[in-house]
Amino acid sequence: MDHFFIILTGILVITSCTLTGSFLVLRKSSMLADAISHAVLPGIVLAYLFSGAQPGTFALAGAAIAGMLASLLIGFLSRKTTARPDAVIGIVYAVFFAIGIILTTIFSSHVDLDQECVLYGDIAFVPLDRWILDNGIDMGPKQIYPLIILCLVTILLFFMFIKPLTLVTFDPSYAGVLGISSVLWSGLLNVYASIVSVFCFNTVGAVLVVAFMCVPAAIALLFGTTFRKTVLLALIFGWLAVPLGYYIAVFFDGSIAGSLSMVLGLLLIPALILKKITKNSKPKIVNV
Amino acid sequence: MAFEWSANTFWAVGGCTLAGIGAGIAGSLNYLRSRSLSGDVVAHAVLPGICLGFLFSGTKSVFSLVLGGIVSGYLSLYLISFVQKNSRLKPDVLLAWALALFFGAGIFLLTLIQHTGNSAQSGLDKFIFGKAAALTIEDLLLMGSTSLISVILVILFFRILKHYIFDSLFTGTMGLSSLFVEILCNSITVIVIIGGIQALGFILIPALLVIPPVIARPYITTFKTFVILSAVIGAAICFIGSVLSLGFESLPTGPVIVVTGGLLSIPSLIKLKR
Amino acid sequence: MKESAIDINNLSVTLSGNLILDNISVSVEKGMLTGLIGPNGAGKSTMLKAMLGLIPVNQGTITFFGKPLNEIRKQIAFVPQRQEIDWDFPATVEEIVLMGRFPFTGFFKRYSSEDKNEVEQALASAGITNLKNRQIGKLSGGQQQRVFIARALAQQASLIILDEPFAGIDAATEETIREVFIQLKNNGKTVLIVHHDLQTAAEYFDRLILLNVKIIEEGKKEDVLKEENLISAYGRKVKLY
Repeated sequence: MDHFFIILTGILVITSCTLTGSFLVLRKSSMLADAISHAVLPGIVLAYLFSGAQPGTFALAGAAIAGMLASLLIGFLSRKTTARPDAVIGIVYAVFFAIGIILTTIFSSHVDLDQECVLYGDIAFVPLDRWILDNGIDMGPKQIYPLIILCLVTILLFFMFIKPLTLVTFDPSYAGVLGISSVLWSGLLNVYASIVSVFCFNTVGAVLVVAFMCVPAAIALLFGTTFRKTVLLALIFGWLAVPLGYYIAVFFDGSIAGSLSMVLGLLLIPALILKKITKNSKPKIVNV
Repeated sequence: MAFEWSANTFWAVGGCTLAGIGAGIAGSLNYLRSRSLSGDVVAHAVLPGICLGFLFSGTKSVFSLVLGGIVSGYLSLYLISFVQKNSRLKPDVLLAWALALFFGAGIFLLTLIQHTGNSAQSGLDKFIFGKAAALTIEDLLLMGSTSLISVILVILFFRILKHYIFDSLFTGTMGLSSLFVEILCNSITVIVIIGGIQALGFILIPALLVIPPVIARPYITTFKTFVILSAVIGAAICFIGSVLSLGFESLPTGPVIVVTGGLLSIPSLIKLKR
Repeated sequence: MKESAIDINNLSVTLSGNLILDNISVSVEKGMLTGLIGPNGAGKSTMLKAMLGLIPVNQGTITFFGKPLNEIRKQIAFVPQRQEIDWDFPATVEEIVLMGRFPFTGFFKRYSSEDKNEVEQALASAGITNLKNRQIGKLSGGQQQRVFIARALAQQASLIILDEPFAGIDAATEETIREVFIQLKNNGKTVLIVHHDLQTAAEYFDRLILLNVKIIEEGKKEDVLKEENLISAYGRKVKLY
């Protein structure tokens, strides 16, 4: 039963991350996902500080502000200074993350976060922390519920806003003339990515949020024909990777989050080989 | 704050400062090639190599760890360019992918090692965020030598580096010398990162490569001054940061150095305003 | 009184401290094929982006068919330079052209059969029906251009603005696309094109605007392409074959 909950958690996390991250990947902002997932750390630490042992959902949503601030700062510095944009990302996220680590260390007695949890979460402990009702009924692991809500909300938002988001991603100028502001929509996307990062932080840690956001889409892009099919394919790869990675972790007694990320990354290689094989068998049609 | 100069602190601060030199040099090269984030990937990518080195050698011998780290660091860069050439995937996605693959594998192996309860593995922990206070003579030798190697390489191949980097910026012509320069810059990056990981840990060592060139940028006139100034600034940030971190003993070194660097980059960022 | 599709008054734009457009006032006549020409760096792309609200301006008022931009956005289709687009984006030709139906569906409604019909017709008018399910990454330059034109048609825009549509296209394809533009004009659309090639400008367009930070001249090609105007714009004599 514990296995089931852990895998379910993984699936919820990867679904939310992939749906959000696919847009980031297509906007060529994959490293921004990396930045946001690190930058939320100080926000999370402060959330833990203010709300005691386990921060409530609202506190966590507030932590997303740190991610928003980071992406705003990155955007601002990229536009308003001549510093190279990739260097800007590197500095901002490292500084935010460093501040987060310092806060974690200073308040380590008050805050239930340790360095390792920050890195790779504690998905293995999800089944242990149960939600027990007053009359004694066991509702299952506590952490599952916010993740279920997050997943459902993400799916909803994805289908609601797929049109403006794809328009802005593919052709921001055309979209701009039609009145769909690229700045607004990419800003909203970054905000949501911050929120997703914060919620997934507990379970998979900072560094692996970016894996879940970007790698499924990367693999799917090798085969993708339409945007929707690409995202669906990404989800399928993600859903396959979760149980696979989990059982490998169990077998070798290693970190589950690490194993999931590694398996996802490895999936790219057979996918690439498959793609090359099928490409060579089809002749290319060129007509003007 | 309780910092005292002693033999230990002297070596610790000295080692970190040396690491800063190498980082500044590597960072300046990457900055000009717009490859600041590949340092990020390499820093994460050395972890599985280090773990495998530990597993194969059974000891925490610096040699096997460093060798493992170099191999996996290189492998990550090679894989990125391989996949890029053979698919339509863009560089930024591939950076994220390599990070996921290698760092995931690294964490997986690290926890695997930790769970075996191998007593020698405790030394691996300081790789995460850096612990200046825990640096051994071996570590310092490593840090010093990586910086030295990077300085030598840059001096030796100065002209070719200068030509290639500016050439690729302005004319984009490729040739055999450009492949060599690619390998050279990547090598310096990998070596310097391995050296610096002891001081800052692998999550934050990329920042040490990224920050000094940005601070140096408004003041430079030539390629030579850029590289030298970055090296000096890298050293300065590490010096200040390691002193502070040793003074506040509970604080890990990496974050303190990074925050120091971040603060010091503010005036330069203002100067770089459009 | 000629009806204008675009009226620009006193438009000035500064970018990175440089004055790119200096107090421009010009009109683009409705139902005409107008070419915006001038040397490199003259501000042609900037003028397009400024009047479409894509970049900030120092000053200036711009109206389209007598209305401000916000009231008439749906009537305008902008086609940016082809290199600004990521052609590896996973999408078929049909999907891109469907984007043109956005003004009719808004964010939330699904594409209806009417939308799909409009797309079919647009593809036919642009001569690319056979490419409907083709991945956009597998298109030639000329085909890419026609996809954008089809999108503008599906949008039923009255004003179509293109930034260097002929760049990097071979002569034969250029002819084909040119014919599509003529067809657009014959259907009452107004087409404004930033064009890079002075030599073909006279042939392709009904009206010309010669720009170099300021408007050098605008109107009929005989007036615009006079030697003194070309010297003002290009800084030296330019031979026209």
